[in-house]
Amino acid sequence: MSRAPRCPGQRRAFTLVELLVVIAIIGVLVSLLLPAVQAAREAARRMTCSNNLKNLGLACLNYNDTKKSLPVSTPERFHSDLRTVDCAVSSTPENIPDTLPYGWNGKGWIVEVLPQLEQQAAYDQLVAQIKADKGFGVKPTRGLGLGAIEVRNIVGTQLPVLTCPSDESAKPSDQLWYWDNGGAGGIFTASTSYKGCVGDTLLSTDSVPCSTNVVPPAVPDSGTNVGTGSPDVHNTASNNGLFQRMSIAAPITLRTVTDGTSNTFMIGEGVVEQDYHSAAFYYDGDWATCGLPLNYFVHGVDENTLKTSFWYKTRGYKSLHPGGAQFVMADGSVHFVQESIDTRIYRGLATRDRGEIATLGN
Amino acid sequence: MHIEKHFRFPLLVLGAALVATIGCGGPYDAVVTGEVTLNGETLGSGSVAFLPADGGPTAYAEISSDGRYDVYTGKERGLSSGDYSVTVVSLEPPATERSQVGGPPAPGKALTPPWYAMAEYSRLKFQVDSGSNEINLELNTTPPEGWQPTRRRR
Repeated sequence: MSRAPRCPGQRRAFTLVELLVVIAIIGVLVSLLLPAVQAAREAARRMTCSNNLKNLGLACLNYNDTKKSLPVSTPERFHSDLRTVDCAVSSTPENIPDTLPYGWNGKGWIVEVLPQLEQQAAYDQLVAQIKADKGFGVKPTRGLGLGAIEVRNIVGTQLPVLTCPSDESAKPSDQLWYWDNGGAGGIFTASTSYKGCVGDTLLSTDSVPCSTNVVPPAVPDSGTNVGTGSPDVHNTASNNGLFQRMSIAAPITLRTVTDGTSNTFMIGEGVVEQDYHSAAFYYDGDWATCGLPLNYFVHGVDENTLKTSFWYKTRGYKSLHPGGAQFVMADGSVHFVQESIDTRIYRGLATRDRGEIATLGN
Repeated sequence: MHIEKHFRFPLLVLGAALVATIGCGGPYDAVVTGEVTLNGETLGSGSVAFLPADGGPTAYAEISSDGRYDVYTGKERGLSSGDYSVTVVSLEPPATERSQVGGPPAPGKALTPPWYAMAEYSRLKFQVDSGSNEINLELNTTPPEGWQPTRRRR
């Protein structure tokens, strides 16, 4: 082709085709670069998240060193189910008092470790309020304990250490369970991206403790009862993980982690908009179970249905990081668990004393 | 003609880049969809679980209101090919919005017979092949052999 200038005496300009080619090349390069940039940003968010888990794990281990048990949770009201301690053998009543010195106040384990997270002032105020009120209430004009007007600025402040940067829904909300004032407009509470592991309990379709009428999906048990079997122990003090919402009745110590602290989940990730049980400082917002598959997301239902009808499908571990979720083990190490993990190994890692052979591959 | 010659190379690069960035699907080699019926009637709600026979992750699906389901493993659509036992549980919506103490309501009665919740009694065993699979789950109210209605494990 000819390279002779078409207008003698003038400088040759780019032709339209050359311009288009250059734009196309730039477009291709940018399209190659963009996913890499996004991946790098996600990797940074994941690292922040893993750092949060590490801090929470160390806080719990430090707590265990001084208080001789893992941080305990206190129910918000007296559950008669609390007396059911061992589903496997018999329903033995435990010697649990009808009243507690500071009432049934709904104080979750996260409140207990606030001093270890450099939040001593917040802890002091919350505990002073709980000791004064000896209860729990969330009426907008009048609250008790954690819901009291005096501490709303504390419970409504989202702590960075409880927030996974990949989860945009991890922020204060007035829609979380028990804080929404019976649906009539509740008070804002911070949420938590991190949930203590209750074990691998399945959730029951009826509220009877130790029911074997467990909710779908019926996943293989980590023990011998493959396919079915594990009773629903989330209403009892006989869970097989490290955190229990009624652990004030039977504190769990690291000594009982006979499966090995490096083989037992302590805390893992949740996604607030997929689990309305996520109130940060509340005893029923800070735990999750490995009885549901990892990253079980409920697709295609509206928020209200998810919250009221499907709550039992939302209490597993999940995260928005691609491919899996992060956990801190009972030895304080943080691991990324692939969502393709064998279900039985996953459930085995959730239990502290069932004697399964379950170790993390990575 | 010379314009096309100019275009040929960038078009090739653009095409290659598109294939590279869009890719060819998620990490799992099989997709399972299908319809769920109970005694021939469409089941418009509930959960399906695909339990692998040889170990691996449990895949799951929500049944949509038209009775269709589409299996996921974790956040990704699809599952690994292989042999699976399938369980299905569908519950009526809760009778109330919340419980008496202001918590989440107890789920409603089960619409599906209880044996479909247990892999060893559900009689739903399928081989999932690489690629697309259409598996219709036809449930009925005839109990499987050896089924004891009051069976309880304590």
